[in-house]
Amino acid sequence: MVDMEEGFNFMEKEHKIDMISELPDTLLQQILCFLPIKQVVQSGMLSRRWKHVWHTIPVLEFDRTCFEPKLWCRDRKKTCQIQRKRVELYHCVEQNLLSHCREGLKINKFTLFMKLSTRKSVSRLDRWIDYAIKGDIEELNLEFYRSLCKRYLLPQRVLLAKSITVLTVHGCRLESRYFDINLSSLKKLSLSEVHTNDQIIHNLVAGCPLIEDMRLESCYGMKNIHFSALSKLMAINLRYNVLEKVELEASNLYDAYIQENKACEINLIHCKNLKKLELHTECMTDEWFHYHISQLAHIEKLIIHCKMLGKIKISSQSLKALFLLKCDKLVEVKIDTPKLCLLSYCGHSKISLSLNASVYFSEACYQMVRPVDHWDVQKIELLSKLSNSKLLYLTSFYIAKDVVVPKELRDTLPSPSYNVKQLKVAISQPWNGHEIDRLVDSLLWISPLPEIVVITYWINVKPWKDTTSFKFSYKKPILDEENPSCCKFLPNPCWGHCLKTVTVENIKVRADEETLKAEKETLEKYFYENAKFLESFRFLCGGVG
Amino acid sequence: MKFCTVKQYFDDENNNNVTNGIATTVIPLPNKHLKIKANNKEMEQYEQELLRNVMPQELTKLILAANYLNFKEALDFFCRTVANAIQNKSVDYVRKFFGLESDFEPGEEEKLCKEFAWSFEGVDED
Repeated sequence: MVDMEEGFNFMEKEHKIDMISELPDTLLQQILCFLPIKQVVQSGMLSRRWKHVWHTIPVLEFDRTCFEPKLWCRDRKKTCQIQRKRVELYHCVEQNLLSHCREGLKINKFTLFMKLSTRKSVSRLDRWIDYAIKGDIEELNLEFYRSLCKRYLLPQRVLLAKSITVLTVHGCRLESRYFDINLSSLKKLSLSEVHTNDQIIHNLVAGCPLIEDMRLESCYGMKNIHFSALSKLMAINLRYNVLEKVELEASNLYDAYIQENKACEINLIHCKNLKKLELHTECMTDEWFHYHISQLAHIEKLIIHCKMLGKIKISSQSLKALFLLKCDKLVEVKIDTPKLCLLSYCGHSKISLSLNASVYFSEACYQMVRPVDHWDVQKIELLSKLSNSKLLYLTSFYIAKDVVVPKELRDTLPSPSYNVKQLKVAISQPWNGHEIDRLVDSLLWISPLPEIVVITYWINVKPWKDTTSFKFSYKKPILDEENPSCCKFLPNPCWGHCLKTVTVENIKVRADEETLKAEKETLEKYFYENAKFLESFRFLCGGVG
Repeated sequence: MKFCTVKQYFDDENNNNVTNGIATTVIPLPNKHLKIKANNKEMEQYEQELLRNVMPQELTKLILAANYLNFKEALDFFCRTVANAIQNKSVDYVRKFFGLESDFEPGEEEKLCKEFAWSFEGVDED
């Protein structure tokens, strides 16, 4: 945040110049549009001139911050207070909507987060929606949390509003008798926790020819989706709907996300221009996978979560990023993708992976599955296959000790990641300062000539992580013996022979001096002992807390 | 497209609303904008820099200029900058920031306070 005092010194000015009043109401409203509704309302108290400016603001966002979750509490006085505030808030909303209607003004955006508890609140809501539609509303966001009564029935008027371009509805019902649905300007639709059925959804989709972005989440009652002739549809997101069948024919669709837990039949072969596909499903067979992926000639990013896949083969001229996540039964993967530059694998190490890897990846990620087994030959071999990459990211270690590769393996195997320039590691538990040198030693065995090594520890307060990063610079190696044992397997001498400078940077919340001091001493000793020609070692700390 | 009005402005000699100084700030903006559009962090830095060099009064003039030139992105940007400067601050702070005097009757202001009591929660310290 900017230090206002420093910039302006307005508090010290002798006379205060009121320059904001030069602006017409419409421009004042432009400023108010970027403020939370509470402040917008408070602006009415700035001066007489400002009293009515906010009444006709084109953006009305009565979101979660306005409505207190509890209407009742044990203290009767407090309950009265809360209820009175609620009444005043409703009055505000109504007044605002009425002002727009009375003056024939357009409402650009109306957002409402509400808990419906009585019939009165339902009829109030119907009235508000009426005002919004009369105001030629463009963006309508309704979020309902019900308490005791039935879900809110979305009035048919909403589905006939020609001005709406963005519609978001959470927690309501759609009735079967809506046959004329005409949302001729609708571009973005989001339905979640909605009670509906196949017929309504299909009528809805048929009634919005310009739809570009669709999101259907937890829509109860929806079983089969067959959307065709959606020439403008570019992105679709389907999740937790308990669908049985999904069939999409949209020639401009470029981004599809489907997460359906039940056995669900998916057909996307007619979406020829699909560039990004993310599938979380339990029932994808190897055959389905081969058939579908081969039909998507333009696919660039593919993210797959599927427990059933066993042996897969991917051959694509366009694929740039591939994520194979939690595919527990996967035993064989053959990847032939000349343009691939990002590969992320989360799974066990007993997998046969073959890569047409003439390409140097920009990023590779290996996430080990919990419980993390100890290091073994297979893990190291898998790691070496994934390591033809500039950045290698190893995640899901529980404690720092798990990162350390045992000596027996280090003595017999070549370092897997000697091409890696940036090594990143993520560990769940905060570590104990004394082990930092063992940890670093192991990482430098995995990747013997890195430019940067970053160790991240997840913590439970903002910013949710502590980081220790190492920056290395090198000079021409000086070898005092012909074949030093530390780099006998490597094409180039390791860091021990050519490390010039090390800069360690700690960004930690609640950095405690004792631990940092111990860390500094341990690391300094470690580097000077092992890098014979080291010129400089710097240890920096940046506190966040 | 955006700059058809710029030509108009330069042709219009009677225009006292927008000084030359302001115009030189607004006009290079489109290029800067396109470059930093994608990068949010850079936007924040640029915003902070802008606030350091420009007084609130000037911001008002910039808003007027952007509006006159029909330059929506710049208008949104300046308005958002002003909004960020007063976000979550108290009514008093905002008054001082804009150099406004409260011209309400004593009872009037109190009445408004009561009416909008629901909005007075979660405001930053001055």
